[in-house]
Amino acid sequence: MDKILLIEDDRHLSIKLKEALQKWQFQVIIDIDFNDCLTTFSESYAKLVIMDIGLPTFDGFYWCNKIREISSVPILFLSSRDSDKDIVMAMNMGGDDFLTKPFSMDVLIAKINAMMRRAYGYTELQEPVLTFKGLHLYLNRSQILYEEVWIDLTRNELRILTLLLEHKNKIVSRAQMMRALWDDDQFVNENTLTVNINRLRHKLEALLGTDYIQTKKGLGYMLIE
Amino acid sequence: MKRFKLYFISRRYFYILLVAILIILNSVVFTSSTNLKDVDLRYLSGLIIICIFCFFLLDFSRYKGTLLRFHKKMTEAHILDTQLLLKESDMVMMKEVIDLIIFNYEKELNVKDQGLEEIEMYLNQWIHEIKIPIAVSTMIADQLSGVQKEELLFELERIRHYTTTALYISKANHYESDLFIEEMDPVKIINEVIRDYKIFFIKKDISIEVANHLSHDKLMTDKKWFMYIVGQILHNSTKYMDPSGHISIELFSRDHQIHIGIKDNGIGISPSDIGRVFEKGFVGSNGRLHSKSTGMGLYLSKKMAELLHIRLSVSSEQYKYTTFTLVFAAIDSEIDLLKQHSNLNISQ
Repeated sequence: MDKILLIEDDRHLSIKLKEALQKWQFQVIIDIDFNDCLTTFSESYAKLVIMDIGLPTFDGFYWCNKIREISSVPILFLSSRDSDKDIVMAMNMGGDDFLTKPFSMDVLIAKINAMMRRAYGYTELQEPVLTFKGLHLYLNRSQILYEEVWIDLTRNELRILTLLLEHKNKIVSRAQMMRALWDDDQFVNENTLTVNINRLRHKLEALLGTDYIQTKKGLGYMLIE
Repeated sequence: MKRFKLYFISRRYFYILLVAILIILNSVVFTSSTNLKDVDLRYLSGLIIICIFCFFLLDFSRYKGTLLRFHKKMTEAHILDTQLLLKESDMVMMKEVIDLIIFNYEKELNVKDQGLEEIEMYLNQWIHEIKIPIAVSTMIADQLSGVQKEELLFELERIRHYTTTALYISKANHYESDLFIEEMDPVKIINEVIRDYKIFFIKKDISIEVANHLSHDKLMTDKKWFMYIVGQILHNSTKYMDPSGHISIELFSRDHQIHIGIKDNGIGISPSDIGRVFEKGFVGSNGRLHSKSTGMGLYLSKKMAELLHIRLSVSSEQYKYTTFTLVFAAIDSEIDLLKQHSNLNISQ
C-alpha cells in the first residue's frame, strides 16, 4: 500500500479523505505536527503529499519549499483558494499539481494516480485491464476480449462497463452513470443512456451467452460475479 | 441646520474671540479693585451678549443670502462666466464652503470604504471557509446510496453555485487586480463549465451538444470570468427549461470575430421582458413564476462582458427558445484591450 501524507488542518476533511482514499488502497497519514511538518514528512516515508495552503503556524507554500529541499516527492496542493496567484505560487514553491476545494473524489484519485505514475513510472508498462468471468476489458483500447474474440466498444459503452466492473456486486445508479458520462464530456440524456445500456447488453449477450447486467428497478444496474 | 453649521464653522475664530474677550473682560473687572457693583457687571455682560446676538442675526442673514446666491450660480450657470466674477472676499468664503463640503464628504466616504472593505474581506474568507464543509459533505454524500444520495448531491451543488456567485460578486468591485488575459481553447473551457454544472442538467434530463465550427481554437480572454458568464447563462437556462430539454452551443467565426451561441428550447422570454434581462435586480415574469431569482447573475455577466470587450446579447421567442450570444472582439481590438489594461497580468 502506498503511503500518502495529508497535510490538512481541518480534522473533518482529513478524516473523510482518509476513509475515501483507503478504499483506493492508499495508506493515509493525517496526524501532523504543524510546527514541524518536515519531520512528520521525513518520518512518514510518504510517496505523495497532499498539501493545504492555509495551515497553523507556517502555510503550505513554506512547507512545500522545505520538503523540496530534501525530497522530490510529488506534492499535490488541495486548497479552497483558487486565484491564479495562489496556483502560480504553489508551482513556484515546487508543487506538482493543484486542486481546488470543493473537489470531486474521482478527479482527486485521477490526479493522484497520474502523479504516482509520472513519479514512479509504474503501471505504465501494463495496460489497465478489468476482468469479469473470463472477459477482459482493455481500457486504453476500448475493446473487450473473450475466448480470443475481440469486440470494440463505443466511448459511452466503455464508460458504463468500466463503472459496472469497478463496482462489481454493487448497484450502480443511473445518476452515477450519467455523471460519469458527463465527466467524459458526453452530455447525453436518459434516453441515450438507456440505448447505450441496451447495446452493451446485446454485445455482452452475444459474447458470453447470458446477459449479466441485472436491472434493479428504481435503483440502477449491477454485475454479479 | 446645515446652514447654521456651515456659518459657525466659517466664523468660528470670530466667535471664539468674542467669547474669549467677554470672559477676559469679566474676569479683569471682577478681580480688579474698581468699585463696580455686581449689577453693573451683569448689565455690561448682558449688553455685550445682546450686541453679539444682533450682530449674529444680521451677519447670518447676509451669509445665508450669499450662500444661496453661490449655490444658485454654481448649479445654474457656468462658473467661468465673466458676469459671475465675484469679490475676493466672496471667493474666500466660497472656497471655505467647498473645502468644508469636500472634507465632510471624504470623511464619510472613508468610513464607508473601510466598512465595505471589512465586509469584503470577511465575505472572501467566509467563502473559502464554507468550501471545506461542502467538500466534506460531498464526500459523506458519496458514501450514501439511492435517491437520498442524489438529492443531497443536488442540494450541495446548489450551495456550491450560490457561494461561487457570491464570490464573483464580491470580486467584481476590484476586477482590475483579478483579470488575467490569456489564450485558451474555448471548447475545452465550455466543457469544463458544463461538467461543473452537470448535476443541474442531469436532474432535469437535459442534453447538451457543443458544435465547434472554428478553424482554430484560440481565444484571448480572462478564463475565470468567461467561465462565470457561460455558467450563469447555462444555470439560467436550466431554471426555465422543461425536463428533457436540449441546449445547443455553437462556436463559429464571422468577420474575424468569434461567436458563441447558447440556445435552449426552454420557455423563452416575453417581448416585454427581453430588453431588461441584464438589468440589476430584474427578475421578470419567468423568475417570479419559476423560482427565486436575485437578478444579479446576468447583470454581472453583462457588466463583466463589457469590460472584457465581449458583446453579450439575447434573443428569444416565447415558449420556443432563448439564445444568448457572446461575440468576442476581433484580434486587433483585443490588442487594444491588452493595451488598455496594460497594468494587468498578461500571459500569451
